[in-house]
Amino acid sequence: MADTVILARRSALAGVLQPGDHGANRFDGPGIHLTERTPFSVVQVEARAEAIPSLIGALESDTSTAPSLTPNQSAGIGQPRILGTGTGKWLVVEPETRDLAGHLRSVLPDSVAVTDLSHARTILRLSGRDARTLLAKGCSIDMHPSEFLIDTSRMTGLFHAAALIDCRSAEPVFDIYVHRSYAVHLFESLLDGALEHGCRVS
Amino acid sequence: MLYIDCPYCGKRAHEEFTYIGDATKKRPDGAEKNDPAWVDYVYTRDNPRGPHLELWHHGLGCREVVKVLRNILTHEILGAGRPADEIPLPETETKP
Ligand SMILES: [Zn+2]
Repeated sequence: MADTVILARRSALAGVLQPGDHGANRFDGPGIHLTERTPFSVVQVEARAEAIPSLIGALESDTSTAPSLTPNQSAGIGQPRILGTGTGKWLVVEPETRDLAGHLRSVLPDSVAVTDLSHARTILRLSGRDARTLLAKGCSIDMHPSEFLIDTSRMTGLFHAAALIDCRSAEPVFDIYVHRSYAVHLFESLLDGALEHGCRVS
Repeated sequence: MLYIDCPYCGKRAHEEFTYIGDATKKRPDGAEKNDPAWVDYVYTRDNPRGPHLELWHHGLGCREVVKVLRNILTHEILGAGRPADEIPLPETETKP
């Protein structure tokens, strides 16, 4: 009988993300903080219109977090966080400690499609006083604090890559979900755009 | 910049969308052996000097298909909805 092999997740940014200060040396400190959140469980749950209420009910009773039916509205404090990505479609995300996809498959109705995307997404955390200015360089969404509020998330294009931007805090703090194969492109674009503000990578 | 009011995401720049095609064409029944019906479905397109119903794919957003009423002459976006929605023409315009 074969031994059980436990695989460790390897970051798509291994060797690319170099901790340290980059770009302008501002008297008031770096305007941008950029880091990767890993390892993370990212699981998509999706249901047809008639099965959406049972999906929401089952997910709320299991996680104590109700997925929002309002587009662009995220829910939860991170254990897990639930982000709407389309009609009847959500991402359930949390720091990786268990087989989240397997767990959701066991607690959600059979009519719900559960897809593990943990291997397929890279999550960047962007914060600092100039974070909104930096995002505005690469996307057409209104990034003003009165428009992109805390606990809203939007699927959009960021430096031409499909990305999900989630506003976690008004400081501001953003989590950015991007397809793994675009992680290096997005990281380099964000770092390049951040140089004029001063960027601390950690 | 053109903005399309996606039924899920809200108002978004047209760069997030990809044009799919004419929204008025209905696919013939799969058993249809009548060539003219298929020729019409596949090839025949109106080119109205004014409003045109079309399908766009919101690839950099919700990844759903959106029905858009666009004035081909001025590029003005006159309305948007889900593919099954009826999108009314403005009063002064003629039917596409
Ligand atoms: Zn959309």
